[in-house]
Amino acid sequence: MTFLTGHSGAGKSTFLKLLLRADKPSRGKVIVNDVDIAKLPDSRLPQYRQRLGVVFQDHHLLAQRTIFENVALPLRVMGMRDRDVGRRVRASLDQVELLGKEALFPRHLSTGEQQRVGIARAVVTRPKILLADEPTGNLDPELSSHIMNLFARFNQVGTTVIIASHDIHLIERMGFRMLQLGQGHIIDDRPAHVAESVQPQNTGEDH
Amino acid sequence: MFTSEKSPWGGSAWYPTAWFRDHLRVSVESFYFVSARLGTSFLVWLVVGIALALPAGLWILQENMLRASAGWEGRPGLSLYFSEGAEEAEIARAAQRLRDSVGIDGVTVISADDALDDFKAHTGLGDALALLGENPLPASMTARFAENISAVAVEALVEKARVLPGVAEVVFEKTWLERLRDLSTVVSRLGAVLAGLFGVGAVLVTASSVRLAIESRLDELRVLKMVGATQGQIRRPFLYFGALYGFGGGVIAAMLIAITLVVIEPPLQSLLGSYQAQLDLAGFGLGFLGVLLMVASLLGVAGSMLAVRQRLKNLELF
Repeated sequence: MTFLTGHSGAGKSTFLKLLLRADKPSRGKVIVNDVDIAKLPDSRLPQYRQRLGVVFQDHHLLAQRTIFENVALPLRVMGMRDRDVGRRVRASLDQVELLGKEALFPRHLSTGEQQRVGIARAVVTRPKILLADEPTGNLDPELSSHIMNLFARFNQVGTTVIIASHDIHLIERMGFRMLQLGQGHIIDDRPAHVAESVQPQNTGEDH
Repeated sequence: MFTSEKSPWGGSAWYPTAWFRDHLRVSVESFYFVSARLGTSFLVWLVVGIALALPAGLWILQENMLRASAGWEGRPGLSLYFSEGAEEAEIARAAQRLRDSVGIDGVTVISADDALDDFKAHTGLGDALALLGENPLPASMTARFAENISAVAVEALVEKARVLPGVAEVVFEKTWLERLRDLSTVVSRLGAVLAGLFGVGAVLVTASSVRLAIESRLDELRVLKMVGATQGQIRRPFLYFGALYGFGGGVIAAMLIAITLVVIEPPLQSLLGSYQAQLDLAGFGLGFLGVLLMVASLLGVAGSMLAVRQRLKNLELF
């Protein structure tokens, strides 16, 4: 698990976009598992993106679809059978403590819950890499800590997690590797130290 | 050396029935999407239906004109009217000479008595004719031309018929039939031109409607792209929209044509009745409906492909 930090415009989001192949670098390579994804043919992009999970600050949930259908979307894209979809979606919602809210629509949930639905959608495919762009930007400190602990748990089970955040205090408290960016360059690379808050904990319900 | 030909972790799990399942799901969702916006959908169906009704209606008209001309013995010919008191032997000789002529496919002799019986049967004036005491109608003969006969040969046959013994008058029966066929050709070509023009119109109307549907679902399309949907998966719902818009337009076109046929049937029946002919409109059958709906659906798909190609080609992620 690695944090990207830096001021606005430092290049955090661009870094994530390059990894998602939403953008291509003007020069250089973007190496993922020995593959230069900058040169990946467009026809291979869906395969690549199906192995990524992405979480945004404003979560991009589909308002007209239920929580279940929002989380199920990546599995539908992969063509998974309905009974497997149901099982995986419920497991994923259980991980973010939203089991039982499948039939609701995003507007019925609080901001924190919506963010957790976004996380459930990102991890439902059991991605190789989880990319998160300011995932706690709209949340209070307690809820932010809860979300970060969720990411840490996914990391513990083998998912590479890369989080862009400007919340330096939260990042330091988590104790993971931190890359500080400035004007598109790495200006500081702090290795991981003993984390304080990676243990699963219940921070209480967010409303 | 880094590779770039394959994904970093290869492909995802492959589900053999995924393609069919996705089509089924998307088709059901598209049906609900179109029916949930019935007002908008109906307007699209109406415009596409009107655009298709005219060329399709002209096709039916042309089919019936061809059928009418084929039913009229298929080819033009001559009618020969004999002078009053022409001998039967004289008429038989004339018929034989005409039968032996090159360019004549068949000859039918109608005696004066047969002509009178026919006249009585169709006019109901038998009592009035009985007062005349004698048959006022001449014997006659019809000769049908062979296929592909030249204009020069027709003129020669007309001249030959005029000098046959006992013949008083020769009428060349080409006019109405040839005019009908010429008119049928005009209708056919007009139909083809209109089909082209209105077909393009139907494609553009569908493209415009699908474009609106795309705009209303851009967020969803971006999410789909982000989670790894293929171009085919992203396009799929809109192709179904196009097909449904086209299909609905085809149904409207069929209804408009059916209504038009019902409206024109009484006067047409009256017109044909004056020629002792029965109205039997052809062409509006199951085959016609099937082709109309298929063409309409394909035009809808073409429209949606146009819209999808324009709008989704460079769809940006967030």
